[in-house]
Amino acid sequence: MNLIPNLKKSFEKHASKNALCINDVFYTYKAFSEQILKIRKLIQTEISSKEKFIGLITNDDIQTYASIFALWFENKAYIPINPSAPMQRNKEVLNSTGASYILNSNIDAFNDEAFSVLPTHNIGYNSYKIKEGEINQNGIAYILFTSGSTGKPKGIPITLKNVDSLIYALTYDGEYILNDSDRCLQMYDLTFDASLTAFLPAFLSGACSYTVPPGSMKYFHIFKLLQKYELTVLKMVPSIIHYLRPYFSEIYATSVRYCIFGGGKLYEDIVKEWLKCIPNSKLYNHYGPTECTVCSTYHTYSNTLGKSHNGVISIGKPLKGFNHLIIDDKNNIIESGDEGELCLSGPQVTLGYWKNDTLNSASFFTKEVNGILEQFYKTGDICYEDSEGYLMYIERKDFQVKIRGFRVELGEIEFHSKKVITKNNLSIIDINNSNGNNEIALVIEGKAFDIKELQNHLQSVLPNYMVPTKYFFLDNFPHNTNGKLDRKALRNLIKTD
Amino acid sequence: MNKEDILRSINQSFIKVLEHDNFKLTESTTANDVDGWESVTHMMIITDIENTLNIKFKLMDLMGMNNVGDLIDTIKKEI
Repeated sequence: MNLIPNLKKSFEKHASKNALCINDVFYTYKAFSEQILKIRKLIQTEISSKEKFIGLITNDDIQTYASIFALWFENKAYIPINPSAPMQRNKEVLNSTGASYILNSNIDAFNDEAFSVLPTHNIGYNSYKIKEGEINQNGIAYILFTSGSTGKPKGIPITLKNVDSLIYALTYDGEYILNDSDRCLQMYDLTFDASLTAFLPAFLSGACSYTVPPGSMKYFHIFKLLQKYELTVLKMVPSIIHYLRPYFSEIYATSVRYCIFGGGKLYEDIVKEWLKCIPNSKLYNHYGPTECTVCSTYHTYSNTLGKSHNGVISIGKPLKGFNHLIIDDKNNIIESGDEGELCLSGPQVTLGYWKNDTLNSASFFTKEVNGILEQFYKTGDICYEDSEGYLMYIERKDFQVKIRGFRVELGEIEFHSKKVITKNNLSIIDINNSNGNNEIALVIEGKAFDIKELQNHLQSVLPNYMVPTKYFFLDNFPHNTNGKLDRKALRNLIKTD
Repeated sequence: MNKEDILRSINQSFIKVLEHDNFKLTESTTANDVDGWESVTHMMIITDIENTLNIKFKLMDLMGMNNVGDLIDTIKKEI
């Protein structure tokens, strides 16, 4: 495994270069390494070596980024906790991993007596001498929790080896090579795994990552960073360019050399326009479920070269190391190029959901490939493969949607809504707003009534991106011939409302 | 249009997009003071104001806006 040694080498080699720019303040790799050392000392002093899972409050500061590496160098995993998410949900996540320690650079952002919260912003020791141990490559690097349809978030553990395989695969074909002069956008919250493909390639190359503060209007802040610092690498969710689209004529960023999208459908028409704003850039569409360590396939798109299906840009071909299959409803392999569920195996695939045997048996299966028994993950994404091997994304098989890049199980919102609305039928659907982005709508069957209690409840149990932004009442829900709720008709009904 | 006229007009855009009138806009009002005024709805409010007043904001102007007062000042420049 090269990840940890290469990170250490890069931090040392680029000591005088800037590693991070946070709120217009620059931090060198030297300052970053010192922070990592301080936090490692804190971990070695305060936390037993048996404790493997440590909560990390995702503040936007150098200590939080340094904590990730301090934990990795100490053979521990981080459980990212967004301080603005409801406390109940955060505690549920921490308790399910058995984490009792939390690293936090801002005590005002998160504090709870049930956990040992260790402040990282003001560590004072007489010496920062630390013991160096061997890195366990099979150790878990992080556990991310995503929305779960049964009302509880599901944990996805990713090992250092998984992350190492991702980095190897991303740079394998030489299409995406950063250097120590690059200025890279880091717009993601650290609870979102896309953050890793923003900051890891940058830190490994001695480049500088420019963060976007939480709570800001992200698209404006990104434009501001682009103008002020002439960023060279942009990794974004597609919704950013939907917001900026009316103002494309004012954007001409010749500094950008790589632009990567991930975390949602990427439409060809807007990308063609966006390429005029970044005339010197290569453009990639990344695809990958969190279960397969951030990115599993990618497609290089240009105005002259690029594949699409119904206006949606192809997710391309699998990264080095992946095996892929497309299967039908009965788990039979489809060879014909017809649509089916995309399944992935390889060194980036998680060992399985955290303590969830039922979900694991439904989501994974083993199959022999070239004489080796491989564990395949059923992505839930319906795709087809064209004659040249390019994968085209069609739709989700289930009720999972993407909101601003975050995975949302509509069933989880329904579960919590039914705690308050007990007498009416209700349904949660995703709808397109006038910016071309997804929003969540909650539709209630019956006459209109005051929904303040419902809204308050949802705000107290769900992260902000999962709380419905539109509410509708309908006298009667539409049903199909089998008597099931017809979601397509429902979507059309509220459109004309 | 004077400041009061502009405020009255943008108030209507806020109500239309946010689907409630549970707020009182003043020059010092920020996104933190109004329920539902966040990234998604902000752009919709901006678009509605542009359509209603038949103006077009510049991205540079939008970037520097911190409160309703800044929004009014920008509109005054554009009209």
